[in-house]
Amino acid sequence: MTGLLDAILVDVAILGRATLFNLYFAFASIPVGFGLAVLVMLGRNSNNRLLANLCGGYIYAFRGSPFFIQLFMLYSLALALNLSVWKPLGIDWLVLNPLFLGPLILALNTTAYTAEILHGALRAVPKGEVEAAKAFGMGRSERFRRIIWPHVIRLAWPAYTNEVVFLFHATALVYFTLPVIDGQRDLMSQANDLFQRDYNSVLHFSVAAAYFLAVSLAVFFVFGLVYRHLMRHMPGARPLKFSLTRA
Amino acid sequence: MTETFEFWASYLTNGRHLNWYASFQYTVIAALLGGAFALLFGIGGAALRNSSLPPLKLLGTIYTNMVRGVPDVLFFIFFPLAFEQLVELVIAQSVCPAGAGAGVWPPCPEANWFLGTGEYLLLASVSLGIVYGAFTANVISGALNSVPRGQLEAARAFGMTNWQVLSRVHIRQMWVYALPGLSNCWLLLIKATSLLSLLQITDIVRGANLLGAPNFSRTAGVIHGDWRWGYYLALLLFYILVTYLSEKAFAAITRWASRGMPMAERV
Repeated sequence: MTGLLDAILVDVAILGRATLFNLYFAFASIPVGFGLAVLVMLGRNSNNRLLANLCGGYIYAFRGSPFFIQLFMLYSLALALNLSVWKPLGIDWLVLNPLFLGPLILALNTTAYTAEILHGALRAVPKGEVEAAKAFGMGRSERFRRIIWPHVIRLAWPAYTNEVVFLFHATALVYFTLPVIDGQRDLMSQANDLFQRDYNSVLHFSVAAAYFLAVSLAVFFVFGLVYRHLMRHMPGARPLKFSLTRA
Repeated sequence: MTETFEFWASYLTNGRHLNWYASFQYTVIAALLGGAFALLFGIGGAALRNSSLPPLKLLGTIYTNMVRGVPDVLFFIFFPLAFEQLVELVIAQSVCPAGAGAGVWPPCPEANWFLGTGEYLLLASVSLGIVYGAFTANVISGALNSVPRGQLEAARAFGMTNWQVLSRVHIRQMWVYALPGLSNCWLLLIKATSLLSLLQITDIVRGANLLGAPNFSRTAGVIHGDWRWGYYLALLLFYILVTYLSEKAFAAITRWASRGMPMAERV
């Protein structure tokens, strides 16, 4: 019995270090993805037909294809451009580093999903409030800042919470594609590595699953607190409920 | 111009490319079979969750919630591995000498269960079915609760038995409410079929990797450099096309299923 407990504790320590890589990928890509998503959402709603279609196409392409293929595609593109572009510029060590390329591809992916969520929320903003703001003489940017955006973020928050959890789960795929350098392994890669050593699939994958579960619960908890703060003016509002499919 | 055309025509129809085109069947089979299993497990999971027996209800709740906190790829890899090891453990009980194989797997060579592409494909489909069945169970369970109470009460008032209410009214009307969610599950599932190469299947992803890698031959010299990104771009477009066609198909099914139900169309 103590043998099993020791084995679990060893796994918890090794996979705890691996979890840091998943957390790094998520933390590095989520703010970038959110910022880009706001821009893509604005482009999608622009009166410029070309810009709106480009942004719509970007969203459709990244939501309609598997993240796994996007990883392979963009990584092999980065490799193909290595000799002609990155090497002469002297930035090949940065571009081809998984710690840079991984968050970049994750950010491109989550941009599309987040932009779709924000776009849906933007369309649900009550028209009357926007018209009232116009009647008050607010300019475009003031209207967006003070009326539209607060609505958008409140409407989008539950779906965005879900997207953050899905993005964290997507980080599990990064090291199936990108090379492992200096033993920098994330949860799935490390669990696979441990499995190759002693073939104890149940132990290693269970501990990895527990780490994923713990981080997901933490995300739900923190984002739930933020949602309560966002909805503090509406005491009767329904608590955050999570759907299961990615938006 | 014609030379370029001839080059591409012969390059894209060489034996290795024909094999690659043939490997699309694995993706299609995994998607269709996985979808069928997902629907089966989804109905089972929803039935468990709506069950009145506490242990069954708990089992259903655990099953439908397991995909909330753990990525699908972990289950997708774990289930086939664990099943293979379980079978090998059972075989080892009878064929291996006592005390054989500490720290090695399988415990003795005789207990090794060799899995070909067909077996892996079946395991992958079941694995997809279990994971996306959990998503589907949530959708179906929600849809069962969306059928207006009045419809069920009217059916009972007509003197239908519980089973008749379930099969003739409840499940029949459930589909309209479930279709948007089922469409989402199906789109997630077809995207997950890109993971087949993780289970030792030489699928379209591995094929693209092999075909696109820099290609040299002793007689012709360099045939092409690193073309992998082009092959992956083709796969990206393939998946976008499948997504587009699936969306169209689900829109048509929704129109068909909600015929004569003016209230349901607006859901």
